[in-house]
Amino acid sequence: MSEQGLLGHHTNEMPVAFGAAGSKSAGELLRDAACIARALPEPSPGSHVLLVCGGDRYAMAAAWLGILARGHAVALPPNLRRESIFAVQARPETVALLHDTDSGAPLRLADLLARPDAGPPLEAPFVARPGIIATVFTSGTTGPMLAAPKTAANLLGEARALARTFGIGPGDRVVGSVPPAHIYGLLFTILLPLVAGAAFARETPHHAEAIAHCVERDEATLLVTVPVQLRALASLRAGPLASLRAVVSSTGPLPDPVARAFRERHGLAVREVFGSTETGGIAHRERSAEPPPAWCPFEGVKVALAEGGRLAVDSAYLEAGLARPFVTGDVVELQPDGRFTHLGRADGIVKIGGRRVAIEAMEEVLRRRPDVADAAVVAVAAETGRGQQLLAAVAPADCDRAAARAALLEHFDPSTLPRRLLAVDAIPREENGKLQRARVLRLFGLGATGRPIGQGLDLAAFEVERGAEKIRARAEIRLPADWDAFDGHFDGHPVLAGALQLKELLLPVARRAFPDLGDVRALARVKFAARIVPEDALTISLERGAAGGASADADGERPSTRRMRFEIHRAGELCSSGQLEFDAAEPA
Amino acid sequence: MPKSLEEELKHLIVDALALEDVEPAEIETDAPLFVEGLGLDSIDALELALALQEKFGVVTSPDDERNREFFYSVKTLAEFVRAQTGSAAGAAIDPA
Repeated sequence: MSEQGLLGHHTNEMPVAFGAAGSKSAGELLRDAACIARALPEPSPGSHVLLVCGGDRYAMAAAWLGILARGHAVALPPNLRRESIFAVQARPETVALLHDTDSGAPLRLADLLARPDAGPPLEAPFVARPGIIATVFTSGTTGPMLAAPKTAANLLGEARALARTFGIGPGDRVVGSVPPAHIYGLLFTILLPLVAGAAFARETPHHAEAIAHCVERDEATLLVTVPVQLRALASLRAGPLASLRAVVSSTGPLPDPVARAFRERHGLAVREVFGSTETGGIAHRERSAEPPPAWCPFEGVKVALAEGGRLAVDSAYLEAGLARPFVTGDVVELQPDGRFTHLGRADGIVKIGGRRVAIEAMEEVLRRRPDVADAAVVAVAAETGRGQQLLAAVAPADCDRAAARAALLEHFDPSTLPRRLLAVDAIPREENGKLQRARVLRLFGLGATGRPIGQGLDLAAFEVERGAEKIRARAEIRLPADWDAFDGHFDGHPVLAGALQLKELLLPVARRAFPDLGDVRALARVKFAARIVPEDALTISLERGAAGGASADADGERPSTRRMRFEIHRAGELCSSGQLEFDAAEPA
Repeated sequence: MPKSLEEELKHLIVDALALEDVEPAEIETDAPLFVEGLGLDSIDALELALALQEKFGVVTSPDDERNREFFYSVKTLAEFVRAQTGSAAGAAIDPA
């Protein structure tokens, strides 16, 4: 059994693939791969075959083996967009395109697999030639595509280490909800099963119910997924995932509440993997408790601290040509036992939806627009599955936002584009040009923490009292000293501005008390009688007409159910009062 | 006048995906939501599925091909919600 071989733990009869499209055995894979190899052109030094496959994982595995058997390396595009595919296809080392698209181009995988020739199959274990076996293109943090050359020792060595770390072997069945065209999906959902004697699902389910269906139908034992899908899976009923022994997550941080919700619902602690395209896998940890444990380096991975607290990595999985040890952009705290805690990025690079983006490069693309004088891009934590998201501001206010967005699309992956792009008079900067991040965030209605101003206020007491004529609600709250909404413009005298009292204090309480209220239509008789300052203990009183009460107020126009009186008191002193009218109120 | 289900879905899309530069009324009922049109991606589709589950108690199909059809536009989403809830109304539906 060869250390460098694929299918070394499979007999010809053992399954390698399963799913809605049917099961395939190792013997069938060796026959189909040989067919594909015979359809490919002669290899030349450094020749690549571009593999564009978004569908059947079995076809992709057969293509991999076929390309390697013919003596080429595999080239994987950064994504399945036409311009990316054309860019890789145009490279001189690309000698053929093997694909599952409807483009009409020759060498379509489904056609090749549908007409197997009578030639001999590949022999198992299949040993890849030494040297580069694949080039993984990534979209690049600064715009242009980057090529990551990978050797057999990189990819197959890592796949074997993963098999040992996660205890995967013959009989294991892997479902991947991440595409196998990227390094994470490739390693875990094709190469790992092929080196370990396991089998993989042919399809890549995306939505929670589809993932659960796939796992349950095929009694999968390993699920390879990402945080946003785990969040969706945590809201499923328990049961369909019962056959799983392990769940692996990578590409972005897994929030504590998601890890906990998944664990409580399905009884499994998520195994998280930390790595990058150029370094391969670095470390792993199990999310069985909070706070999460430190990252544990994979076997054979040496870690050290480099300048600025950066993580330096040396392992057999580092891509060919990298300096060793390779200094990453990740700042860590290293423990004596080699485990580490991730503290952040050192280089202005953020991860959006699993892709790395250099913020400065994005700002530069915006500034190159002729009508843009200045630009700022900031990353904020997203509550959504993206982990983080970007916000961009451009100046002056009359510059063309659509054109600025189009310029970004030329350089960056669409999923990484700023969620909001504002045009403003000027980007807030210090006199020395340093960006005033807090003031930029304020342009987007966010506090210095990046959360919407006013979020995260806890009510000390809250009650709703339903009378025949009126519904009353009462809330008590103590305002935190460092609450985002306090206006810092008056140095040393933070106060809660009137508009923010309504938006950040009153409306959240009103919406909680009366969830049926529509948009605010009008304000009436609003008075701000006394200042509201940090650490004030406030009582908020609300009152509106009950549905069964008098149907209209004296003016007979708007039913009183859509009108809400409010008062905000501090220790008996009235701070503010008034009346709000809402749209589209339904009886509460 | 209660909002139509289509209008409610447009609000839900803007809220759930934090599309703060987009007004719900700007979203065309028949236009594709993903890739073209609003330019949403596969992560947004998962977010939207969660929001739909929370608000309407509807769940996506075990068949992703059908999910792609449901998530094509506001119109197809509304048909999907109506089919699962068996009602033409929106706001009055209790999550099952």
